[in-house]
Amino acid sequence: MKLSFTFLVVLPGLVALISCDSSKDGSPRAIASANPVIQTVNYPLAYFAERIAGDNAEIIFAAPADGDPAFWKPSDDELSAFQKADLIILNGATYAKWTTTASLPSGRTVDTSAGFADKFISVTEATTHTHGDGEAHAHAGTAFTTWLDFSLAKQQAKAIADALSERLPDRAETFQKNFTTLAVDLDSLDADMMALAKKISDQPLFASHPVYQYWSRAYGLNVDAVHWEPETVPDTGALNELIKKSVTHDGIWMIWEGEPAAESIEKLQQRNIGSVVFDPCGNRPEDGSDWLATMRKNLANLETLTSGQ
Amino acid sequence: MRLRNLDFHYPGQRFGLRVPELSTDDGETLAIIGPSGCGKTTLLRLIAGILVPSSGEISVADQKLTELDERQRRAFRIANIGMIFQDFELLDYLSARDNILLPYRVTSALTLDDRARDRCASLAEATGVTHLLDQRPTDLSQGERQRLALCRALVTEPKLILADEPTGNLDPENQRRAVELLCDTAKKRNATLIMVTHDPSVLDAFDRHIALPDLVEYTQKGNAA
Amino acid sequence: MNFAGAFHLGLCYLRRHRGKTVLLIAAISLSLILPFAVAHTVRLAEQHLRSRADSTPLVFGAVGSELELVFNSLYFTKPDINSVTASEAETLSAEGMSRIIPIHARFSARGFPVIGTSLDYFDFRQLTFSSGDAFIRLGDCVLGAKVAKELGLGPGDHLITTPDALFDMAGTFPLKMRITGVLAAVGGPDDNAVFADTRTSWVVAGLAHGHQDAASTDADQKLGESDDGSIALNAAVVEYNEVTPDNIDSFHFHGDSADFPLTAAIVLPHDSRAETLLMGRFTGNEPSAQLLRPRSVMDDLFDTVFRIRDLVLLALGAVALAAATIAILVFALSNRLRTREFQNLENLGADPSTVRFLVSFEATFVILSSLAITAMVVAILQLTSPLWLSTFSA
Repeated sequence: MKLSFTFLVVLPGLVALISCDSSKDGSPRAIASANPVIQTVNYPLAYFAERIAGDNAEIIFAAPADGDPAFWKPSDDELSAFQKADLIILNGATYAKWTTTASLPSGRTVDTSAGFADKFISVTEATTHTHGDGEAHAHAGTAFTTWLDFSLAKQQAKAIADALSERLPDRAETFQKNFTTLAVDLDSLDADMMALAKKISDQPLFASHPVYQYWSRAYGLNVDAVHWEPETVPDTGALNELIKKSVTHDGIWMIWEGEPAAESIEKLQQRNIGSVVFDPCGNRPEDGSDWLATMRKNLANLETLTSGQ
Repeated sequence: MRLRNLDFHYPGQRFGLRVPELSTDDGETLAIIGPSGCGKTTLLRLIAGILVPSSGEISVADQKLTELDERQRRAFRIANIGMIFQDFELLDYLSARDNILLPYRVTSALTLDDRARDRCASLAEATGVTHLLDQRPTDLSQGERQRLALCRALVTEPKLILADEPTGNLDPENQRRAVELLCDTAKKRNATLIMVTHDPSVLDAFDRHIALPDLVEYTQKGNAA
Repeated sequence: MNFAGAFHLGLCYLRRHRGKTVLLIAAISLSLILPFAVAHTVRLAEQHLRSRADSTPLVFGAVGSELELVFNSLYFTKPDINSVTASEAETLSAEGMSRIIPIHARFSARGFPVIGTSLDYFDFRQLTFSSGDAFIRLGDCVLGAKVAKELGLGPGDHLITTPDALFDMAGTFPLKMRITGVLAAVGGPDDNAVFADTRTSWVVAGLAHGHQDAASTDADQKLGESDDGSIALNAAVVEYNEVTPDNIDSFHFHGDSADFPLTAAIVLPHDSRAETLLMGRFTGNEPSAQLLRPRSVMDDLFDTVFRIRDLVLLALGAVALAAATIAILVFALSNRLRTREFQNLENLGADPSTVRFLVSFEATFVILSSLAITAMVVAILQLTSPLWLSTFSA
């Protein structure tokens, strides 16, 4: 009998597939904790989250103060802490490469730049290679200093506000109100930068590091980057590289990520290139100020450019 | 044992038998002989109270069986009459000991106590089967089986032993020995023994013997004498 | 009636015919136990299967057998079903109507399925850790309770995945996974599975790998370097079969990870409206994928199972009837053979009730014993079923 045979086959199968678990509903997104823990991958996001959440959450920005959070690799324990957070705020756009190999709970993770993925700037500096007869591929990178385009920064802040509102609905009103205040600051920053950019957009600029892609695109600036560190004085080779660039890109200003060594300023000055600091502020400012103040200071620094050299 | 003016018909049958008079003394051994089908077994069953006569009187040990009802007759029979059947009818799923004590297991009229067990042991000893008590009847010889049947008939210390051709299947020598054992044991226990047989060669061992046709009248229904 | 005496005789009779008695008791017990066991097992299986299906609102996967999709996503069996891409699954959560938990249940390690999923799976199934913690990064895994027990492994140990095929040149290399935790036993498929990040399962699938940096490779391992900076590497380049803190940055995915496969995705709609809307998307004429309610699939499965069960019970009923008939014949025959024994007992002067007791003793004893054994076995079955079911599910 065919059915009986099927039964004999199915029955042990059924037995073998036994499980016990309790039922749950499909939307377990709300956070139960009274004081939720929010992990962030860089200081701008931590700053936005602090502004938006106020006292309603504990914002953690775990990367050490003395490095670039973009290249920080958390230890297993630090990763565990990330996993256990009520909300994990990522910058996206390949920022912090460890997030691509770390296991994070997608239900509690917010990629703040996912909303403008189509606006990402790709950089093709990496080596392309193939394996055996396989297809050639490049590990093409994506520029990640998104927040220097203040309109994108506002979108990232909005993503944080929305994620918080969704997970803590009883405090949503506060979050949205705080975001509105933050948005005013960001809008004003954006407008001021835009106004400033109009005055300097015809000047080719050098950047000590390729982190200004979104900034230059947003405000129509002409920036070419080298790979210098503010604390390292450029050697002859580095200077030659700059001179080589000057042939096609006649910049008279070098935008530094941080305060450069006096010797560096002098060396550049000898070549009629002025130095100005525009701190991307990926990490918490050492002077104790905050992200917004740092950006304001950046803008003030840039005013120097309008006066010419 | 005494019976008088006994009339009996098997239900639905025309022919019956009538026993005008038969009595025995205590400790007497009596053989009733007759050809097959002459009513020997019927007579024994009447004496045992298994069959009930339509008229007449049967007394065993001063008890008139004809005055007892069915239940009383059974209780009386199992306590006072020892039965030895054709082929002994031992139960092959019981040990020899349990076969001897069988009457105590099938009625509430008797109690299986130490005295009964002692009697079982002494009977076994007297008949030479002590060493066989734990064996099953199927493992025993005819002679040994007969001894067991005798022990079973005597274990309740009956006043009367009824034996229905117990030697039918034995060879002449064994028949003689078996009958001698029956008569000896009955005498020693002061029990009356009535045995029916169709074999005249064993009659010498008995105090008395009667040919059944001399004892009974055969009757026909509607033509009773 | 002499009850003790009659009982003694009855027992002696049964002891003498113990072969027949045992056979009869066994046959009757079996014909009583079997239908119960079948019904009980089906009921248990249904209960357990349904509880997991009921707690899983929707399952998304490639078009094909609904049952195989449910079994792949809920019980991690049927690894050979078609895949959907990660982005197809993501679209279900894109509009904020639902949350999805990816399932990539295609590979195994030492006989246990390796489930590529996200950390949300543990939250969703309310799984807790008896030791260690969740997988932290690429190449980590978490063991179900039974896997850890059977393999004698725990946090800090390693588990190597079983390659798809021994001579698979295409790239499903055995991956040495670091064990970060062991789940507390819950009784079910989760105890028998190895959990890893979806991306780890893609590494196992050969869709991602880590190797020496192309630029720093020895010259004899380079097949050529083209003008655009592209370097062709030969097969001698060291591929890592273990993800370590030192080499983790060299792991990279070939192609867009959005196109990478999942065997299924558990879909958690935010509300019933979202569920209805999502279901509506897959009711077209030729949908490329399917979205299922595991509960309905189980309903269909059990409709079939119940039909078959009823047939089996019917067949077992017929067998039981035959067994009963044979038993009755045996009793009748045995009593007929004992007619003379009973007659002699009556002649001896036995109580009629004692004789009647003896006549019915065999049948009564056999039937009562069978019922007692059945009751005992049934009780044992019911008490121990969670135990043997979980043993079977290994």
